[in-house]
Amino acid sequence: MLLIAGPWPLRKTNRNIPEPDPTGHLPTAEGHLPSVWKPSRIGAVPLPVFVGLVAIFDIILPPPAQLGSGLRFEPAYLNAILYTLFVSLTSFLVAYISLKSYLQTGSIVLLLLGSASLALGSTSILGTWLANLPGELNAGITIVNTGALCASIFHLAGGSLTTTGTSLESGPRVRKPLSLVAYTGVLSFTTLFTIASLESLVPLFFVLGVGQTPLRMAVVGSSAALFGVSSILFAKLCFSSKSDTLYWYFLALGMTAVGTLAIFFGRAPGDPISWTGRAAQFLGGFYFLKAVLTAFRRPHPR
Amino acid sequence: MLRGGFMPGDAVMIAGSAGMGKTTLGLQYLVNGIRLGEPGVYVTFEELPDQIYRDARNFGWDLRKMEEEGKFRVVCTSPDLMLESDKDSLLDDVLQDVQPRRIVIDSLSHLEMFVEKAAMRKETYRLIMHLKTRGVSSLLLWESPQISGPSFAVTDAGLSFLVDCIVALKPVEIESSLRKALVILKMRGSDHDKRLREYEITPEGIKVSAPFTEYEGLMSGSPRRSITEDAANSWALAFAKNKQKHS
Repeated sequence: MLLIAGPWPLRKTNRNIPEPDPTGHLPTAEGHLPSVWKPSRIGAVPLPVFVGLVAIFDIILPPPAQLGSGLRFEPAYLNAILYTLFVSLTSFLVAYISLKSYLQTGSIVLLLLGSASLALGSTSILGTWLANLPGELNAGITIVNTGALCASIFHLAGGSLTTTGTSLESGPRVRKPLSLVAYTGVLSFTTLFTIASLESLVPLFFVLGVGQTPLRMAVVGSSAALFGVSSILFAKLCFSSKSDTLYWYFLALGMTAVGTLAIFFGRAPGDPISWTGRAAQFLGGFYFLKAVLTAFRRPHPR
Repeated sequence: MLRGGFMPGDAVMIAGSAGMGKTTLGLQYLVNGIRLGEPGVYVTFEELPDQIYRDARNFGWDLRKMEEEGKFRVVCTSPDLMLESDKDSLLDDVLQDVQPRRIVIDSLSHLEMFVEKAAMRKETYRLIMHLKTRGVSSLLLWESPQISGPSFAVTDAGLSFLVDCIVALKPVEIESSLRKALVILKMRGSDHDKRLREYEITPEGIKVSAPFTEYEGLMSGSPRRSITEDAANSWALAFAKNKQKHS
């Protein structure tokens, strides 16, 4: 048996494996085990809470025609300000980082996510502010709801491509023009749709004193379902890849789904259900921000 | 980058370490001048004319033909001969003969072998003024071993103050490969581009491309992606992880 002489601790091999001491005893190897992924559990708590609140309010609240004014709270511009801060700005941030990522990698998924966020952000900011103008409540609601539907379709497409492992990548030369087409397309659609809504060229989504139309229910219901499915797809990805970014992203999509679902069950703008939904969407916006911030964390030097 | 090119009659210093393409840039400057009807002179202290002709031919520049047409001249000499101040000096002979509008001196660093460090600034000043008074734009190549750090000097002889423009050529290591960066450090009378740009030595000569906008700390010698580029990369990785697992 070869005995290694010399002071302890003994030198190590080039594989960084500690060599045994003269008695054949192996010291503990240096190094760290990879840290266990611990997603924030508190972050997930509001999701079922909001679902529960929507369900409770739906049970206890009277139908739209019997809803008293005391059950509505809708100060002018408050909703627009909150949407701008918590939905639009965070969506623009996601659109920006997704664009930068797309230009780096050419992954179509990132372009879809960016387009989704841009659609959500631009229609939210336009729709909520327009809704405050006299006689434009329907136009505002139409723009916000349609934007949400577009965003949910883009998210579902992105989530499906990633989950199925479909590799759709564009070459370096087409990235800039393609992203320009996508983002300009989204903004052009938002602009044209806004004009169409203001000119009453789009079928009614909401009638004051009556409530939402079947068209709005279909649009909102579809959006909520698509956001929900997208959230599940990204949740699946998140738990397989143990990514903090995806964790907050799937929760954000989940909160947006709950927020959209609340509109479906809402009696009138400003009622407890609609505020529950709005709160869920605002928290969703904060979660989008959290997702972006996790990407900004530089890895610790090893 | 220069907002319209070098100013006529200016003295321009091209500073860079070995292999950065100083000679190529110098020759390209002269060839472009000749195409614009400005005769040029190339003064070299280290290469023989045949080497210059051969290297230029690789870029498609027929210097021999240009020389025959009286538009170009290669002067292979030693720095002490060039610095002679009498009327019939080698440099004056060439200037009178070719009537150049452009001249390249490859390289000014060789003067240090013949001139004491304290006199280097004076001799360079004399040379620059000599060329300026004759209306010749000069490109002075300078071998600088390293241009990096938050504060640095291109030369330690104070020559930076004598020239009108300084172009620094610098190798940068990015993701384990060596790339070439170019930056205008100084240009009198011009609001020049301040960004570091990548350049390549192509079969047609030096081609300047996009700025290194994705990186920061290039001049310090330890470049890294800018924080937004890093974040975008992390973002892309997060959404690409599943694809890696599938592959």
